[in-house]
Amino acid sequence: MTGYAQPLPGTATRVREERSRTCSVTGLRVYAGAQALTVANAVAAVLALAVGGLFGMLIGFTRAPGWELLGPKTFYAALTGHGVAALILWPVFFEVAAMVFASSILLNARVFNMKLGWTSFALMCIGSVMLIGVILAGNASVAFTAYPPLVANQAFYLGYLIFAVGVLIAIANFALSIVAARNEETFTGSLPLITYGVACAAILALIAILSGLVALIPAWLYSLGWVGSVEPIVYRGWFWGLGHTLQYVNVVAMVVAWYGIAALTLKAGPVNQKFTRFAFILYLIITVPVLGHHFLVDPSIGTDVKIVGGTAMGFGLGIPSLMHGLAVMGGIEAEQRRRGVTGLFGWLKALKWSHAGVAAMAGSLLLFALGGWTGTAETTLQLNMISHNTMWVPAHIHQIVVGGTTLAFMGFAYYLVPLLVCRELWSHRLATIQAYTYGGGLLLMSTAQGWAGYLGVPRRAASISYGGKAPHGWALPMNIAGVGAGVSSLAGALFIFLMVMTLIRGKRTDDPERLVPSAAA
Amino acid sequence: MAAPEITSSVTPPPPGWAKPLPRDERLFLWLVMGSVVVMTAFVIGWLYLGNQNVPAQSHATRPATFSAQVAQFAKQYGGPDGRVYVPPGTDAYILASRYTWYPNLVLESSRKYRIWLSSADALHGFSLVGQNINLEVAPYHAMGAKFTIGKPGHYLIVCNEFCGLGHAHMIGHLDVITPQAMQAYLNAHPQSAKPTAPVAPASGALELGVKGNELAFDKKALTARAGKVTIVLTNSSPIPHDIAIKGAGANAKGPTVTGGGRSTVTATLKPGTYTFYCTLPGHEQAGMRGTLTVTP
Repeated sequence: MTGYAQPLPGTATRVREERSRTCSVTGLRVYAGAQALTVANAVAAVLALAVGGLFGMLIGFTRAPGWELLGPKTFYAALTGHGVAALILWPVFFEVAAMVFASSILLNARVFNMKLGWTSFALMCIGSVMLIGVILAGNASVAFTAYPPLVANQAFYLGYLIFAVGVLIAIANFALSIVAARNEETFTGSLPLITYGVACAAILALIAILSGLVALIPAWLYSLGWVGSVEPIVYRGWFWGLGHTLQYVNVVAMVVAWYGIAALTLKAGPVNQKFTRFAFILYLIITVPVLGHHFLVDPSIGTDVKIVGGTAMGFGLGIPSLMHGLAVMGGIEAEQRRRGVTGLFGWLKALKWSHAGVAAMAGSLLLFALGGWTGTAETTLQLNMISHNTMWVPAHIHQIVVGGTTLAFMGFAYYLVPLLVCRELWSHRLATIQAYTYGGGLLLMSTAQGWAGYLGVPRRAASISYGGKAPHGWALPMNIAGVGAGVSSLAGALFIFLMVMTLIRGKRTDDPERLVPSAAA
Repeated sequence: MAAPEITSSVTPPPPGWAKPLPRDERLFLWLVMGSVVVMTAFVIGWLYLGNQNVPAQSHATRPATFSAQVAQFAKQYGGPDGRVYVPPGTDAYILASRYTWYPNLVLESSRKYRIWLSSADALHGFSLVGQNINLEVAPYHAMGAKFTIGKPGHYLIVCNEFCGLGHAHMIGHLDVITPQAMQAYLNAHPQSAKPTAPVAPASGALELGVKGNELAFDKKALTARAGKVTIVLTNSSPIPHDIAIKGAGANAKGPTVTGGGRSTVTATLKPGTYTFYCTLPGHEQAGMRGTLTVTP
């Protein structure tokens, strides 16, 4: 068991790749390069989450009629920044971290090419800085979707494109790492489930990025004045080919995080891997046509196409999510029973509920299930007319992406990051409080948002007073949502604080029980 | 019952991992797939059985074409109060543009209307407050939505698709009146009595136009002699505009027009400096204003 002195990025590029250690918990071989690249991407992800969360808090406080913190100009800049940082940068950086981890460390292998890895990381960082910079400068207040003829400064589109190229390189490096590991026979048999899931996420990310390029390149040329106009409905189609497919990258990565948390903290895995892997493949098949649900109430496509592409496929996407929900909880139950737990719900009682992983996973499963329900309502042709572009949509998005994905990533990070840097989590107790508070705040916020959406409150408006003409009932749920946004933002800040403290102050240790405490009571 | 074996998610699964699905997992799969089929069947069935469905009628158009139709419609049915009274059985039109819904309609209660929606510029979201109807409004596409509103009253239309910095100011009005009130209006304002030929601008009126499809007039400054001053705005752009005068105690505005319509404003002005501008939300801020100098 040999450690090495400086596992952090910057120094790590100079460490020869052959240097490696054996993980004290999993027994896997961890190469310095793979470790540094994973940690670097995870750190960038956490920074992006901090930026996105800060924008989100400002939005929550502005949308509360009792406060209306920001004026329209700043609000729409924050709205754009929130979408870009929290919906694209944070999850994609985390997924690239997961790609590096799953294609090297989990396979006992090196990263195929470290230069490619650092190139992709640098491009993604440059793209992110350009995006956030141009938004902060107030030159891209076009909302996350940026539907033409709304137009941002060309640096905004260029930032997106540079970021996309970085991700494409990361995907290539991921695929080549698996091929190299297979050729070098660092592992035998099929890919581990987590690598398999991350590979599905990578394929979806590839589809998303290609669709995004078709949307964003014309928009970029339009911002330069090289093309006269871009048809918004056509842009909208390709944009959601990026936007929604990317959300399924997030969902797949969230499911991977569930399996990851269960495997690390409970040594639990699925009862039947065929069932689980089939569910991952279903995501690949159903995700691509499902962007049809963005067109349910617009004049672009016929009702028959809307029913198949929007509604039926939208319902169908529930299948793999339900399968994973069953498989991950079934795996935990089976493992608990193997330990001798009995009774119908004994396996739930025998979980350590003061454990941050249990807290994050329970919150993630619950909020994701709620989000699945609100999403199924929206994707229903007729119900979409009731909910389209109302606060119901942010309720759904936040339940899925923040409650589901972000909370699962947080829970996974509490164990993955200490394992990678061989430092104990700075405070397990605070981590548990963080996970419960974050989930609770989001539950409050998204429930209030759904209530507001039912009343018809529009999303993405700097103010909903409409000169005093708005219905009086609109204010209460939006104020409650503001409180929920405040609570979850505080908890989000606590997560970032814990990550930073763990990276710089966490106790160096090899003790498995301190790096990853068991979640079984 | 012995607990089933589990496999690790982290390590490569042991050889022979691809076992047939156990019975409970097969049952679960059939149940969720069945529920997808049943829910989809409900959605299709509701198209025939339900009375609230997403509009199926749409066709391609151009902003100029659609706004000319709206202008014609507003001229034909426009009342003296600036609202458009739509007799039952007539197709209505609403044009979305930054940041207004044009024109303000008056409908009869409990009657089915088809309202054609399109946009002159960006994507907009048509949201009829309190009625839970939300539709995406796109330029280059017209969508015919069927509405039956039971209760007479005033209804607010807000935009719920982000369309620019003035998005939260984009509201429209829709009034629903009883059949008796509609009949009374139509009797008092027979259509044949309406002037059909455009009124020629008074001689000496200041002529103003719109610069392309931009939010700008074709002139930044106008000069007039003190006394009765008339500005005639010819709006050849698909985006609705009006013309108004403000400053030094003056405050007058003409009607909103689109698609080649003319808006006229008249005010009696003393010598001084005034501002002429478009009152539609966001237009003055975007630069749709100029200086009117009145000399003795």
